[in-house]
Amino acid sequence: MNNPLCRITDLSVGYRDRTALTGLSLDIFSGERLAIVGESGSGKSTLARTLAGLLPDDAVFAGDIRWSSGQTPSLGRDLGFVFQDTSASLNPVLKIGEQVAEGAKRHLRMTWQAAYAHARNLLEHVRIPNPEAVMNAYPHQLSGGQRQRVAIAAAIASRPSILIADEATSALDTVVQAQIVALLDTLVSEAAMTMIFITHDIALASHLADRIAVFKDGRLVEIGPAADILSSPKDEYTKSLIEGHYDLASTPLISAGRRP
Amino acid sequence: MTLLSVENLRRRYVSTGRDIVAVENATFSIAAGETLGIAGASGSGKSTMARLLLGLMPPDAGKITFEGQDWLSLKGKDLRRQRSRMQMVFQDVLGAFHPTATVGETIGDPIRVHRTVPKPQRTREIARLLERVGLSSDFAGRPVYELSGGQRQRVAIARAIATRPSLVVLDEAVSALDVQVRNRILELLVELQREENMSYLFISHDLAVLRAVSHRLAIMDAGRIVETGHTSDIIEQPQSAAGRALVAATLRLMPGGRQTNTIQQSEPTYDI
Repeated sequence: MNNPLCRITDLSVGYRDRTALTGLSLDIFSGERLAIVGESGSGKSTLARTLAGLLPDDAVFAGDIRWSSGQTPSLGRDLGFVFQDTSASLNPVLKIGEQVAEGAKRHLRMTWQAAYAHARNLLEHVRIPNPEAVMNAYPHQLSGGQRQRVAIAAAIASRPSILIADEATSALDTVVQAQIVALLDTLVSEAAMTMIFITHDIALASHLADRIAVFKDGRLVEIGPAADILSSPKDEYTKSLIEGHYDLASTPLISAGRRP
Repeated sequence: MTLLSVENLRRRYVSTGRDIVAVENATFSIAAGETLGIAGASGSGKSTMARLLLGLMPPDAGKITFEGQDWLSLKGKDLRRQRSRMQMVFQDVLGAFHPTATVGETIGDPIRVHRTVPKPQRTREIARLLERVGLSSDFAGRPVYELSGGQRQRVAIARAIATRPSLVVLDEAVSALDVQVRNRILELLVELQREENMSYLFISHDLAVLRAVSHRLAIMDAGRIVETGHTSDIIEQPQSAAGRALVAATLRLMPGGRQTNTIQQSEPTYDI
C-alpha cells in the first residue's frame, strides 16, 4: 500500500479515572473507509476524538500520531466530524442555514451570500426535502434523521478530505439508519473522502468499510480487509461479535411464529 | 386463552398547536404465554401504546380487557391487586430506578407495595429473584449506579417478575446493550417465559431482535397497527409499506464486505 495518510504509533490515552486506549499502532490510508468496531468501553470513540483533537484538556496522552501532510488536520476545515447525538453538533438556537453556511464562510472564505447558497446546495445534496424551508428552521423542528442529515451537511461544508462518523446512526431507528448509511456511502464516494466510521455494529461495518479494526477494552484486537475479518476472523472476540449478530436469517430463540 | 385484548384504543396529543395522533384505532390481543412483538419506526406510537396499557396515561377512547377484567374502570384495592399482574421493563434503567437505592431495595419495592411475600421472608425472596436472573445474592447490598448496563437490566427484570405478573411490557428493553449482553438478556427472557408462562408485549424498532423472541408481530405506522400476523409470515411477506420498509432496512452481515453491498433504502419522509 502507499504511504499512510496517518500513522499512529503506540498511542495510549487515559482520562482521570481510567485508561481508554493502550498501545495502539494503526495506519490510516488516504481515500479508504476504515471501520472501528467495538462495544462500550472499547476505546473506539477515544480514538475518534484523539484524531479530531477533541480530547478533554485533562486527558493523558502518550505515543505518536504522524500525518503525511506534516500537520494535524484542522477540525471543521480538513476534517469533518459527525456525532451520534446531533445536539453535540448542532446549535439549538441557530437557524439551520446559518450553521451549515458558517463552516463554508470561515474555511472556504466565502461571503455570507455565497456561503448561504452553498449551504442550500448542501442541504439538497444530503437529500433534505424542501431545503429553502429547512434553511430557516431550527434543529428542534426536524426529526432525528433530518437533524443527522443537517449535521452531515455541516460536517462536509468546508469540503474536508477526512470524515469521522462516531456512531452517527446509532440513535436512529433501523429505517432511517439505512437511509443515512446510504447517504454517507454516496457522499464519501463522490468526494473520495477518507472515512473513519466508528460503530458497535459489525453488520453496519460490513456494508460500509474497506478495512475493519476491532477494538476491545482499549486495545486493537484485529485489523484487516473487511472481507477477511468478516469471513475468517482470527480473534475469538471478533468471532463472538459476528456470531452474536442477529438478523432476519438468524435462528430464533423461540419456535418461530408458532402459537404457544 | 386470551390474556389481554385491546379494542379501538385511541390517544391524541396536542404539540405546538398541532393535533398529533399517537395511537389510533388499535386492536390486538395477546394469548397466555405468548410474545407479541410491536415493531415500528420512531414516532410510530409504540411507546404511547406501552404507556396506555400500563395506565401511565389514559386513552381518549377504547377498551382494554386484562385477565377478564375491564382494565380501564378498575379502582382502589381492585386496581392495586390487578396492577401487580402487569409489569414493565424500560430501556433507561437508571431513569426508572432511584439511583442511590440498593439492588435489594429496588427489587423489594414491588413486593412491599403489593405485599406478595410476608416481611420475614422478603430477604430470601430477593435472593431467589436475583438468582433467577443470573445474579448472585451479594448484589442485594450494592447500589444500582455501580452496576453495568446488563446487570441493571437483569435487576429490572427481577423487579418486574417479583409480583409474579402474567404480562410484562418491554419497551426497547435491550436496545442500549452491547450485542453479547443483549443476547444473554434475550435468552434469559425466553427462559423465564417458558418457566413462568408469562406473556410479553415486546416493543422495539429492531425487527431482528423481535424476530428472535416473538410468536406474533404487530407493525405500527403513524399511530396505527397496519399489520399483524405470525412472525415468520410477516418477515417473509410483509403486506404493509411500513412492514416492507422495516424488513428492507434490517442489515444483514455481509461476509464479503461492501462489494456485495445491498443497502435498501426508501425515500426520506418530509416532516417540517
